[in-house]
Amino acid sequence: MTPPIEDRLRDAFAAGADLVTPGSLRAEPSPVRGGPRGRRLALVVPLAAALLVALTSLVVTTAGRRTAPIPAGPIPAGPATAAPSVPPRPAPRFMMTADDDGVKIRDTRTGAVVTDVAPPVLPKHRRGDEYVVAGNGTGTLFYVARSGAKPGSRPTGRIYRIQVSERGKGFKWESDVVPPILGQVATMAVSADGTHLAYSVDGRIAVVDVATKVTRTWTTGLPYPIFDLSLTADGRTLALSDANKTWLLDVSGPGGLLSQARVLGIPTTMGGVAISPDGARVLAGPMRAPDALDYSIDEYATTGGGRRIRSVFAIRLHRTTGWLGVLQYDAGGSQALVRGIDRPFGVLSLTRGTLGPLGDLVDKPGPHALRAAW
Amino acid sequence: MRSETRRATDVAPPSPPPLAPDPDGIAELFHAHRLGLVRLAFLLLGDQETAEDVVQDAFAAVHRRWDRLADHGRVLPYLRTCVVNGCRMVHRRRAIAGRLIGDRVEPFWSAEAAALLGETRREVFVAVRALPRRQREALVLRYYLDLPEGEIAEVMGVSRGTVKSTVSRALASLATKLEAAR
Repeated sequence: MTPPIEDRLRDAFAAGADLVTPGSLRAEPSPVRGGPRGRRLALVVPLAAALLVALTSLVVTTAGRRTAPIPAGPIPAGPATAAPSVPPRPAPRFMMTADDDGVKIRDTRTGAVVTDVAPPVLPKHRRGDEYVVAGNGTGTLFYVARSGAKPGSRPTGRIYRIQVSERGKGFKWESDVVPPILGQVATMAVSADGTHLAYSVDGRIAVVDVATKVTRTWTTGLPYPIFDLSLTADGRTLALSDANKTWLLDVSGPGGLLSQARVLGIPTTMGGVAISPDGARVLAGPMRAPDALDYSIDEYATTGGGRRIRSVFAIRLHRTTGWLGVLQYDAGGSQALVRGIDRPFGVLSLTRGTLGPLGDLVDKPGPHALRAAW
Repeated sequence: MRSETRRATDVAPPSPPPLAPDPDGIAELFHAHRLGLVRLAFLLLGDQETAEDVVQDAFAAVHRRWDRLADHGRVLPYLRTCVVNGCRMVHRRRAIAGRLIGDRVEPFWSAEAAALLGETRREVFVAVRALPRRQREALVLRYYLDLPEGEIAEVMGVSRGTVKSTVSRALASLATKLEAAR
C-alpha cells in the first residue's frame, strides 16, 4: 500500500536534509565579534587593522585602484580617478521595485514602501504574471510591463505608465499606453521625457514612440532575450548587453538586425550595463580583476570602441551570494542605481565613488524585491 | 487608453525603537540554527555550497539590523524569511545564467546522486522540483519544518488562506505526478 503523499514528503525531505551533516558544513565563520577570544584579541585587532589600513593605502597608491571589504554601510572608496562631466545632484526621491506579486514605490533614502501599486484586475485564469519596471531617472515616471499567459497559450505583455506625485503617495496609472506585446517582456528602458520606450522580448528588441504608437523592431539573432537595456535621455541610442557583448544601437533608424549595431569593446559582465543620459559613457560591472577576488564597476567611453575611462568602485566579493550589478543612471548622470552587495539595491555615487545601501528592503517578511528602476 | 488615479494603499510603519546590540545573542542563534537553516536552503536549492552562502548572508543581515529588530524573540522567523528570499534570488539568477551558460549545478536529487536517497525519494524530489516556486516553498516549510500555516504565511509574505490553497494545490499536483510516474 502506498503511504499518503504527506508521509512521502516528510520522509523525502528528512532524508534530503540529512545529507547536510554538521561535519560537512564549512568551518564556522564569525558572524559577530565577541566572547573570550574576541577579548583576548582586543589589542591585536586594532593593531592589525591599522597595519591593514597602511598596507591598503600603499596598494591603492601604487596600483591606482580601490578595494573594500563587504560593507555594512556606505563604503568610502576615495576620489574617483576622473570626474564625470555633470555636477552632482541628489538621487531621485523615489524608486520602483517589482516582484512576482506586483510593484511598489519606495523612498530611496530608507527603502521603505511609500505606495503599494495595486495592478488593474486582469482576465481570470491568467497566471504566472511577471513584472518588469523602467524609469526615466527622475523617480517620478515609470513604465511597468506585466506579462502572463492563460493556460495553454503564449504569454502576452501589457504596458502601463505610472506617474508618481511629488510626495510619492498619489499616482496616476495609465493602461495600454502601447499595444499589447506578444511574448514575455524581459526588460525595458525609457527616455528622459518618457516618450520612447524600449523593450526586449524573446529574440527581438523594440522601440515604441509612445505618442504615435509607431514601433520599430530589431532582431537579435540570439536564442535568449536581452536582459540589459538602457536608453539615452533623447531616446536615440540604446545600449544593450547579453553578458558576452555590449552593443550601441541607433534607434532613430527604421529597425532591422542587431548586427547593424556598434559593438563596444567592454569586457564580459553578468552584472549589467547602463548608458549615461548624454550618451557619452557606459557604466558596466561588476568586472572581474585579474586576481579573481576583486570586482569593479567601470565607466567606458562610447567613442573609440569603448575605451575604459575609469574604475568607479571596487570591492572584494569573495564568498558572498550578493549580486552586484549596474541597473541605471539617474537623470543627472551623477549617480547610478545598482543591485546591492548584501542588500537588494544600492546607490552608487559616481562623483565620490561610494556605494550607499538603499534601505533594508527585507526588514519585513515579504517577497523579495528583485527588479528596480528610478 | 484608460486612465485612473489611485491613492496610496500602504504606508511604511514607523521605525521600531532602538535596542542595545546583543552580539552574543546572535552567536547563540547562529550555533543553534545554522544547520537547520542550511538544510532548509539545501532543500530549496539543491546544493550545499550555495545553501551555506545564503544562510551566512541571512545571519549577516540580522547582525546588521539587530538594533532595529523590535522583537528579538522573533528573529528565527525573520532568518527563515531571509533564507527563503535568498533562495529566490539564487533561483532567479540561475534562471538567467542558465539561459546563457547552462545549469552547472548538479542537485542532490539528480539521477547521478540517486544512490544517496533511493529511487522512491528521488521521484518525490523530482516531482517537487517541477512545482511552481511558491508551491515548493510552502511544501518544504510545511513538511520539512512542520510550521503551522500562520508561520508559513509570515515567512513567505502571503496570507494564511494563500498558504492553505497553495499547499492543497501542490499536494494535488504531486499526487498526480507521482501516480503518473508509477
